[in-house]
Amino acid sequence: MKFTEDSDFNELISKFKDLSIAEKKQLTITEMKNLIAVLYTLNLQNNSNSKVLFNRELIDCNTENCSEEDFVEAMYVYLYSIKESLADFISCFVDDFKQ
Amino acid sequence: MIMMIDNISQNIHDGLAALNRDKVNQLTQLITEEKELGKKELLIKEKKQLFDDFIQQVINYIKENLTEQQMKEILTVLLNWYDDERKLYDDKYRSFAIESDTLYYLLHGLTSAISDKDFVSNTSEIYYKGVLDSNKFDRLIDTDHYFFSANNFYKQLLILSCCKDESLKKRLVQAEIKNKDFMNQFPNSPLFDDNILMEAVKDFFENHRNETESWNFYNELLRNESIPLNSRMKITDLYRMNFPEFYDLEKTNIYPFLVQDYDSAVKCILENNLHDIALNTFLIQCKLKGEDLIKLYNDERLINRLSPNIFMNEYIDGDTQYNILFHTLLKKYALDHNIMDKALLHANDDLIYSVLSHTDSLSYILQNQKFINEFIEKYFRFNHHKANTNAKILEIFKDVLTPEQMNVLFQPGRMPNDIYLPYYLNDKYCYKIFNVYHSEYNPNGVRDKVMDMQQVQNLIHRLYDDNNFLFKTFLPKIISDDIFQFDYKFISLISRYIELQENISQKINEGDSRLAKIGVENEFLTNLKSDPIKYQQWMVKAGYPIDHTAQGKPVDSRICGKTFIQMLKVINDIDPDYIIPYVSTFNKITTTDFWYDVFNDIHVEKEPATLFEQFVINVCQGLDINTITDDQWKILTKVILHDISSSIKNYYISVDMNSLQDVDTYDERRRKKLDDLFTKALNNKETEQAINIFLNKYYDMDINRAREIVETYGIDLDNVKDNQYRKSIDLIEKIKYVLSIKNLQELRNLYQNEIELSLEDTIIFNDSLTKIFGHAFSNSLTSFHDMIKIDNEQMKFPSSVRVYEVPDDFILLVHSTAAYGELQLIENNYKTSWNENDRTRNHGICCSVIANDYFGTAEINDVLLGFNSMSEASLLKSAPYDLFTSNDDVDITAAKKSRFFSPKNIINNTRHTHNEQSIERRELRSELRDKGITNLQPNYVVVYSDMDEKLRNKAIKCAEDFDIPIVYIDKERIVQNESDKIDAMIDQFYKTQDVSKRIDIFSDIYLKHENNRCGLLHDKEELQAKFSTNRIEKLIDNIVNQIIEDKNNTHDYQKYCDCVLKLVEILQREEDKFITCYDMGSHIAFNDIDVNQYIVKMYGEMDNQLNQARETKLTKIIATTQLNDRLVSQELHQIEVRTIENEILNFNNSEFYCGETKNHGLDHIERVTVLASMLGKREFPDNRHAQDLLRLSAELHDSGRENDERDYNHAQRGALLASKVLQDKLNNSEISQNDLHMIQFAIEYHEYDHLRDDNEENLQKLAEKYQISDVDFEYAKKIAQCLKDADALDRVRFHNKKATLDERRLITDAAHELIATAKELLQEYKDYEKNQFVIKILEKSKEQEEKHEEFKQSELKYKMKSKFEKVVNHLMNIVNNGISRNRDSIEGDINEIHRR
Repeated sequence: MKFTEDSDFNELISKFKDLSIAEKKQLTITEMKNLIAVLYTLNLQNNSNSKVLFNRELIDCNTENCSEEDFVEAMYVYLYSIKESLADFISCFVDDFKQ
Repeated sequence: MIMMIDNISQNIHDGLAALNRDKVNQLTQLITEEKELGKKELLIKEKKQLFDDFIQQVINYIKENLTEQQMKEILTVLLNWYDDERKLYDDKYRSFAIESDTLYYLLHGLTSAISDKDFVSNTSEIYYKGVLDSNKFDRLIDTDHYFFSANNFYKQLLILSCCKDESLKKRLVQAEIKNKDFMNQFPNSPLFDDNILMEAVKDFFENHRNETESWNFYNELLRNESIPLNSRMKITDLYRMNFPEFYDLEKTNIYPFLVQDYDSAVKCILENNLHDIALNTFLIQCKLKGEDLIKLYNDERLINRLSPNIFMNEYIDGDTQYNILFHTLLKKYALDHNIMDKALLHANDDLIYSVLSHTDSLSYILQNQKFINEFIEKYFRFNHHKANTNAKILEIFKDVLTPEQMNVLFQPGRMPNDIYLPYYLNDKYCYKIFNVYHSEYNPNGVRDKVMDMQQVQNLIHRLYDDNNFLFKTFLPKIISDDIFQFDYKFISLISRYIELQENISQKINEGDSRLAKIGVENEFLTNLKSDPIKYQQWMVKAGYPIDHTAQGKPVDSRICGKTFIQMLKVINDIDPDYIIPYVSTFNKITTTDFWYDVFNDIHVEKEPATLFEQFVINVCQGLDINTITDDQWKILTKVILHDISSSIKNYYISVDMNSLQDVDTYDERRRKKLDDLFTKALNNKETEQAINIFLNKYYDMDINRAREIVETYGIDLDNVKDNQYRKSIDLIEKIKYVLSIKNLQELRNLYQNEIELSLEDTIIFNDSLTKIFGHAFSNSLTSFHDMIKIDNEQMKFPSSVRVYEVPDDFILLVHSTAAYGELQLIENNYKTSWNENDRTRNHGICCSVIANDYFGTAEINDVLLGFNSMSEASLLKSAPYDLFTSNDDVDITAAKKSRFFSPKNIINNTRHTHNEQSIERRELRSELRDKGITNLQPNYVVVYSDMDEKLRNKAIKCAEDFDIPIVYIDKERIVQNESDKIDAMIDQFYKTQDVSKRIDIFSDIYLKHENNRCGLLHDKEELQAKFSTNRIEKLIDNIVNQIIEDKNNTHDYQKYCDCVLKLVEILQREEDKFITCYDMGSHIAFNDIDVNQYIVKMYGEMDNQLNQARETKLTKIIATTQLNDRLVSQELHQIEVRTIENEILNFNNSEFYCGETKNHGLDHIERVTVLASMLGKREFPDNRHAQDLLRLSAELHDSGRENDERDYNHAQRGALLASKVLQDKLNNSEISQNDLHMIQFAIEYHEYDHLRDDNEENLQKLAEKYQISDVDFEYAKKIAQCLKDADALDRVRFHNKKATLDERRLITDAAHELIATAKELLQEYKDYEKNQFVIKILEKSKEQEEKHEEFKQSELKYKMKSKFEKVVNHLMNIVNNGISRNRDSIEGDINEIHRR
């Protein structure tokens, strides 16, 4: 695997590190939601029945002072949700390709 | 680490298991059971015994079975464990220690084994020598207070090893020489070696060149009697060699510890040629006793040089030596009153008593009238003494005083009434005074001879003229049925005294029918009968005697009586119960000396002092009062109400009343005047004045009265709202609101829309204030319905009484009958005594609220009576502390101000050994009065489970006499219950994750804990032990650590700030309660929590410079004050802050200040200097020289202090030190020698009492001492006075009455102007830490915001080149913003699920 570094990205991460943990959590959750939304929107173009995988653990991390545990659990759910949406997207893409 | 211990322990455990399997099994089973079943209480004792046996076996096992190598291993483990002890303070350790009992006890066993002498001597010396030689050695000694096991172990180890090794011993002594425990034991131990001690002391002196530190240490050594005298002499030599100058200065403090007898003392004094100050210091320190002391104090060579300060001799023994000293001084000073000041102020109860009971001292006292006057004056004026001591003093005086002296003693106001009234009212004593001693009142001087009526009248008139107090006190005793033979003038005279009226009225009522029978009609009765019926009805209903309002008599009684009648007419439709307290008010109007003076012919010509006086003088002469209309009477009533109010003098605004027409237009003219003044106040932006006018106009009260109402009744309104006095409560809230208004526009709007209170509303409002809380009482007290009837036989009560037990939660109102004096039973019956003893003349019954979480009452010496129902009007005074009430038949007065709370909150605010609720003794409920019940009757008698047999039997008798139930309180059960409740709350505390919620739970725990703790202050230790403050400290530690950890993890500074301020508020709220309840008496309770240390820690997280005692704060404070518009802000900007700070820091390096002290630390020095500078600007405008001298004096004024309390002669020492400190300035010609002397003069004078008669004389002496010329004298004096005032102004920091600022003691006019500024300045210092903390938080939060902004920019920058972003942007064009919409819908979905 080839890794590459990017100075702007390094700077972004360095600034991210300066933030408070609450902010970090909030930004990460927002990014996750954004990503799911992107995938969902893409999938909708191909399949009007497209769905997003959901689990109640997401609710806990929506509160202001969510614990470390709540946050990690939510991240795990988001990750699976993204994986499934990504699979939906890829399968559409593969179908097109097949066609 | 723990694993290592565990392993070794386990090995031993296994080894022992093999030795005694059964015991170990038993133990293991117990531990298992305990954990599973939670039977901790039951098992702990059994387990302890088992473990003790077990440990002994461990020791034996180790001794017998372990090899040297194994022992070394154990030592290694324990040593490492000790090293890690700090780490073990974390939660891991706690759970380890709490849950792992087995391990704990095993360790205990191990350490016991190792501290065993035989065991250690058998182990290798190499190991512990290694320990001692290693760099761990010093730390071991410094930290010896940590774990008892480690501590004992190392102590033993060290001492044993040191015995064997001289160099180690030396190191040990050097390291421990400042350890007091060590130094107390060392000289008597086998370790002791004089040479080693000397070497260690020498080493200390050489390495501690700071004179003060060495001096203090040196003094400690000299006072240490464990050290042989020879050694102490050697230490003296060592000190002299090292600090020759200091030694010389303070040599007088050294010798007292060395002298053994009178001869050596005199030799020491004379050989060293001690000057007067040194001599007296010597005597203060001197420890001689008995004959030696007598000889010393009576030595002709010394006696004329003694100063009053020798009363400070801490070695004076209460039994004899104080007397000797007193005796000597009395002789020497010929009863000089200055000596008396000192002696009496410094003496405690026991000393005073011992002096008085000493025949010689007493005879000296009794020889001198002036002395007695002084004594009584001083002793009782500053009366903080125990009641029983007062009683003892009276007992002594009673038998020995001459008539003249006795008369002096019984001057009005000399003693608290409750102390000496029993003597007055004791028949034997009363006659002794009256018939024997007061010869001038008893011309015949024969006790048994009955005086004729004329003699009695003459006697009473003379009493009336000479000693009003005696007159009032004795009159009821001598009034007999013969009163009707007195003339009207006389009855009129004595009737002015409301306290006599009931008595007189009773006689009149009794006499009426009898006199009618015999056909006697005197002038008084005729007049009485002509009074309006309604007036009589009201008076009778109110329980007050009938007044003697009549026609044809002096204008006073007619006008006042008429006013009263009109008053009743005005409020005719109000429920009679409402008006009862006002009957009392109006009775005062009609009867006090005040009105007598007003209407007395002699006084008619004088300048009217009040509005009503003005009316009487200008209008009433020759006026037919029948022409006065009802409306006019109403206005006059209103005016009188304000005339008799004490708080109106400055702020109640009225208009002139010079004719009857003026009365008609009074309201209208007053309204106009107020409107004009209001507009003027608005224009001048005088908020306080505007508020005062508002209150005057709409609520008919001035701002002082409004504040008094809010402070007294407005504290706990939220908890009493649910009652019928809602209207009054709303009005208090409104007054509170008006007082808090800062915005003039807001006030203007309110002024335009408010409605004026009517006279009737005002009266009802005033009347209802205490009733609001009286009502809350009647609703809160636990009734019999809530109690449980218990089995008499089982609880060993006779069947003749009903017995109830209190439920788990209860609130009772109780009265301890003999708390402040013995209860004498009349006819051996409690009920008869209650209704007929002398106390029935008092209004107030002193009660306390007790509850399941608070048991504090006044001392229980007889029975504890309980009340569960009474009229709402019965609550007279109330506070969560002792009010020190006293009764004078007429009224009840209190030394402290009332603060009314709901009963539950009385408990929550009582931080004193008991609270005080004064309940009206008269029965006020008309339905009971109609049945002939005139006194409030108790509802039950309280019996505590821990009362002794005597008190219990008294309670049973009392219950039988009254035919009321006993209420039984199983104190142990209730206390245990409370402790369990706290435990449950603590469980909840630890289960709660969120720290903010944890703080909320803590707040409840802390409150409950402190209630219980304070309520048991005078109780058994085992009960007190259940509320150990350690428990609270652990919780606070937990919170503090948690919020600091959260902050470090999250960088959420705002949350940190919120949590810190929330916790600090809780801690300070509790602290404030203690301050509010504080008094100097023996019933004092202290806050056990050191709030400041937590504040320092939490605030210090943001700025570790905060709370550094040796840091000056002025610059930062000035920066903060710029943010507000307080008075002090403007003042501060005019002083030379930089110079003050630099100088103080410079002087402070000399370590003269008690920097870490509470009362006289650097903060105090700064404030006094600032205030002195402000005074300097005012008193010496344009005189830079004076301002500089004043500033320097202020900076150094407390430099001579040695302690934080009353430190005699500190000013003198300060003046001396100033000459050293200012040497540089002198050398640089910044100040002249003359300037230095003026500074020293000012510093030394600041400790003088300037109100003493000999003040000028003292100033002159001081001026001579410092060679102040006559030309400079006034100049220097003024500087000194300014310094004294500046120091006095900072007294606003004290809470107790004796120490706080007494404005009357201020000398300069400017100081009076600066009182408000001084208060604000203090507040700024109080808020300093908090303000700096909040500023730091804001800075940090701002920093975080900036970081966030930087992140956003970096994010934007990266997103510009991110592939993902490009793809998404591309797609966005395709799907028309679908992304954001979908994100919203995802969030919406999540929220929807959350809602469901």
